[in-house]
Amino acid sequence: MILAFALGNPLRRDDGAGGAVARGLEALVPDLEVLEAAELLPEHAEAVSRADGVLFLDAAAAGPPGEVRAGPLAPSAARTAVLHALLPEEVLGLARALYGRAPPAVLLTVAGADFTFGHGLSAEVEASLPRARERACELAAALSEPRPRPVL
Amino acid sequence: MSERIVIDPVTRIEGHAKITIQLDDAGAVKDARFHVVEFRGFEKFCEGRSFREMPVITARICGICPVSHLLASAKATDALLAVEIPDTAKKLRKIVNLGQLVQSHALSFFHLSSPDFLLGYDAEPHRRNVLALAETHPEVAKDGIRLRKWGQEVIETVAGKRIHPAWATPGGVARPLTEDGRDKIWAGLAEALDIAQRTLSWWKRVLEDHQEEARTFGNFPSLFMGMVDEHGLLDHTDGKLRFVSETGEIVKDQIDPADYEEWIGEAVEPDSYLKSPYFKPAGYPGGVYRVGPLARLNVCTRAGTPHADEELAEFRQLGRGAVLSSFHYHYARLIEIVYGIERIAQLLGEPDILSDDVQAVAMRNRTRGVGACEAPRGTLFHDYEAKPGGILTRVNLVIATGQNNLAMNRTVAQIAKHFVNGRKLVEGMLNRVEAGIRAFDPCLSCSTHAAGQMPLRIELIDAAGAIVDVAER
Repeated sequence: MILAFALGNPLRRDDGAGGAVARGLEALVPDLEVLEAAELLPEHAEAVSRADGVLFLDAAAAGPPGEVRAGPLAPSAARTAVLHALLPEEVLGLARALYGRAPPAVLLTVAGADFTFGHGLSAEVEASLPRARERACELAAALSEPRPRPVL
Repeated sequence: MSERIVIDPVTRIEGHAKITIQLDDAGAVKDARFHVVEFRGFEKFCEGRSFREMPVITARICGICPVSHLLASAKATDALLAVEIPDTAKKLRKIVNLGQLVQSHALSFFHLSSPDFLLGYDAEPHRRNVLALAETHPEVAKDGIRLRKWGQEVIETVAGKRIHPAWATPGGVARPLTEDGRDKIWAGLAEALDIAQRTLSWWKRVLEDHQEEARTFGNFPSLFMGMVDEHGLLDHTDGKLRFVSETGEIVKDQIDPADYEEWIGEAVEPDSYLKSPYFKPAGYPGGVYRVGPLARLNVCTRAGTPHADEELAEFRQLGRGAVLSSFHYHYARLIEIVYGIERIAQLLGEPDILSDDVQAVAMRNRTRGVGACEAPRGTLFHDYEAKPGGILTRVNLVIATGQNNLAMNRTVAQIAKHFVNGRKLVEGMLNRVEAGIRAFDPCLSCSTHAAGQMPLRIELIDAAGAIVDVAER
């Protein structure tokens, strides 16, 4: 099972880009489960540890609006105790520390233009959604490919 | 003519909480004060809104206990409608309130406080958090995460969302519980209870190692207040108010929360945005009372569930009458988790729990409505006055953390007197003050988005008013 986190707050306009990319993804990718989350919490570590791969979908504050970027993530130890806002790498690190397993993971971001209060995405982010969703499908497919389990 | 508005202190962002310790002429600790320098203004900006919006608006007051505000607000709006809500809606509200109790208490005990117990008060502040526990005590960290997750699942399953659910409405709840939802909660009950009981057993074994904290962390006589049902059993959602003294004697019982102003006064101190509620018949500041898990276990006749009642009987051996040390908030919290899980099981077994009859419909029929419930940290009141059209003209919120304000001041003074010696603040003192305040689980720790440490500034002030030392993080 591939776990896709749709991260962000749709009431802060482009911060909802992760959720927008995730919309309809389950129908396009077999055995994919979408989990919407305003923020990553320690409680997410267990679900992460059980997945074959994890796709984090989020907005980015940096970059030209609408730019789609993706890159692999490595588990890391947590910074100081900021429980409200763990980074994807920290959730992976927590999954490894507590449950003995951190699956392969990828972060896909769409650069936003407008993070003010309100509904709806900017035109740039809206226009980039098909490309972002296509990229998300490719990444999910790659994460689904059988591979030897890493020795921890 | 232009006006100048001065907001002071603005720059003390590092000090959402500030503590001053007053020395006497001989340099000994004379008094200590706990100040909250954060102002949010919900009571004021809710004026002019429709009462029907209030449950949704006020749930935003807190990200940890939104359900408490949602329920207290919904109950206040029920009172404005002057309706009796359907029994199933009452039971579902109770389940959600208890789900929140479990998740919030788990957060307080495992995520915020257990690092103090497991890693020590003198451990580096940045290490005293649940993420560090993942490395040193992974089983404890896992238990905490699992228990909190189950509490959140209860809320999400019944109310639709973990955080800020817009589910409790004036007159009832927005939708009934489904059979699948009930079964999902059932499926996790046994594991949740197992974790809670395992943690409680461990806590009782290590309690002996914390005798100094139990003696000095807010260990003093006071009144206690909490909600009980007509038989004196715990009732976190629809109970009446009971006050008991330090000897455990019932001072006042079965007070309708709507009459809170008759018994509770709200003093305002110039040095804090946190009000200082007090028991009116005893005057101010003599009428200090405590709320929250310790208070609830002190006021109830019995908990009302089998395992929690066994634990309560053992807990009461700690006191002659009421259990007085605020350090035992932690112990009380664990017993309440057991109670919450057992009580949810009882409520899920009620024959009408899946009924569709969950909403009473009415127009506004009164101009004043008071709603109250037990939030994880203590009794919470929402008091609204509305014009005939339903627009609010006055809002008063009496928050649990505020009701512990006077007790937290005394706790800080007691810790300071025990650990401060001379004119220099030492690190161990800072850690213990922090832990003493944390025993009350004040909302400050979540509102400042910090865990493992609270932004604190401690000032040591001599008899002439001069600051002789400062410690802060």
